[in-house]
Amino acid sequence: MVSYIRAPVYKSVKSIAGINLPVLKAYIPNFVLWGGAVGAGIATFTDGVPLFKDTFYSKIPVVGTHWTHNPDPEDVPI
Amino acid sequence: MFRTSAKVGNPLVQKAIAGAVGITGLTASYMLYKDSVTANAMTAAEHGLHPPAFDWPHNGMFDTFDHASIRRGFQVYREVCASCHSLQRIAWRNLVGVSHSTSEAKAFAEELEYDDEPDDEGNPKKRPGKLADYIPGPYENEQAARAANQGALPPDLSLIVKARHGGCDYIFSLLTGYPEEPPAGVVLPPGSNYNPYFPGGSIAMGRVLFDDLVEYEDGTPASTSQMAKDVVTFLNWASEPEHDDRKKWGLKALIIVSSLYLVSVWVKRFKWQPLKNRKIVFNPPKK
Amino acid sequence: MQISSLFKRNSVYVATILVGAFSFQAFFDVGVNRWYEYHNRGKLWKDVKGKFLEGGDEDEDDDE
Repeated sequence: MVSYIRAPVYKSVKSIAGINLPVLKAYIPNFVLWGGAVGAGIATFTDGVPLFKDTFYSKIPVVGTHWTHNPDPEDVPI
Repeated sequence: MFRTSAKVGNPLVQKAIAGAVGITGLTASYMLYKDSVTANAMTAAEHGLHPPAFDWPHNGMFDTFDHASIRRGFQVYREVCASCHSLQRIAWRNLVGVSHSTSEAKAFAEELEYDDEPDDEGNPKKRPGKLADYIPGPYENEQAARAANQGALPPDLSLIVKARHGGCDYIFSLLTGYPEEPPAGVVLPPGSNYNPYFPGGSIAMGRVLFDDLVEYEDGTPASTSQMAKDVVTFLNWASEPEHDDRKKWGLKALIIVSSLYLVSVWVKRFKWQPLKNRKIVFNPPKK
Repeated sequence: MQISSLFKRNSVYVATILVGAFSFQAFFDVGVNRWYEYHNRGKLWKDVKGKFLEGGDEDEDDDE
């Protein structure tokens, strides 16, 4: 027997400022991609910074030597 | 497009026009010649002979200096020019990686004495030179330079290539352009020499470059013109030490900017194509 | 793998641009420098210094 109800019963998911778990879960792949984008952005703008060059970019396989600077000591005025 | 409707048919008028053109040309040539044989104010001789354009190795848009030539030119500067001309804006460190190694530049600097900080009693002290020291000039000050050169001031050579009309070509022509003796009729003030490339013709500096004046370490024959070429290359480097990098960055900028320009042309066409190609048709309703 | 998949998500689009910029600046620099040094070979200090300096200072791998 079908039991009819007068109106739809709404259940609200627990949320903080409109953000709740299923929404967050759905966004995860997108957030990961944005993280990658931000990382690439930081890499682009720190390409010439010695700290970043020595710590990260020179350790990239195959092309890492591009960021290592090894001048002949006789060409450096020290 | 350039057709003229007015044709001069009369042969007499044609001859008159040709004659007028000829007389004008001859008169102008004669006046130009007269202008060139005197050296008064506002004449060609006052401005100096124009140097020919030489085929410098660094002439092209993307061509660097010939660094072997810079090194030889520094030798010429040091052994010949430096006895009168200073090179204030070049420090020993500037030579490193350009024409000399660090130890060579250090050796040059250490041969010389520079002012050190005074000692505890305030007496002046001297110390051997360092890489950061500037190349010292031959004279203490302008007055000393003038006193040693009959009142003439040998100009500082750091920026001389930029400071002279004609640049490298002019300085090369000047250095190699001293004739054996001044042309007939030229009267020079005492102590000056004749050089047609120098504005006015009378220059205080005499000819200084003669064949085999220096001995190059790489065995290049030290002819007058070879030394002049090398020293001019060196002086051009001294004026524009950024030259090689500047041309490299120019190349990069040209590639990027022209690619962006082409992209912008493509985008413009892409956006405008539907607007330019659309056809608005009005079909009036038939009754 | 289609080109259009780069434009579907804004995150992928932005990441593509930035990764492209990072790798392009390195490759572009290397390419232009290599051409410039080839174009001016024999005139650069690194090419001529072996001729002047004592001790056979001919090490080829001093740059790069």
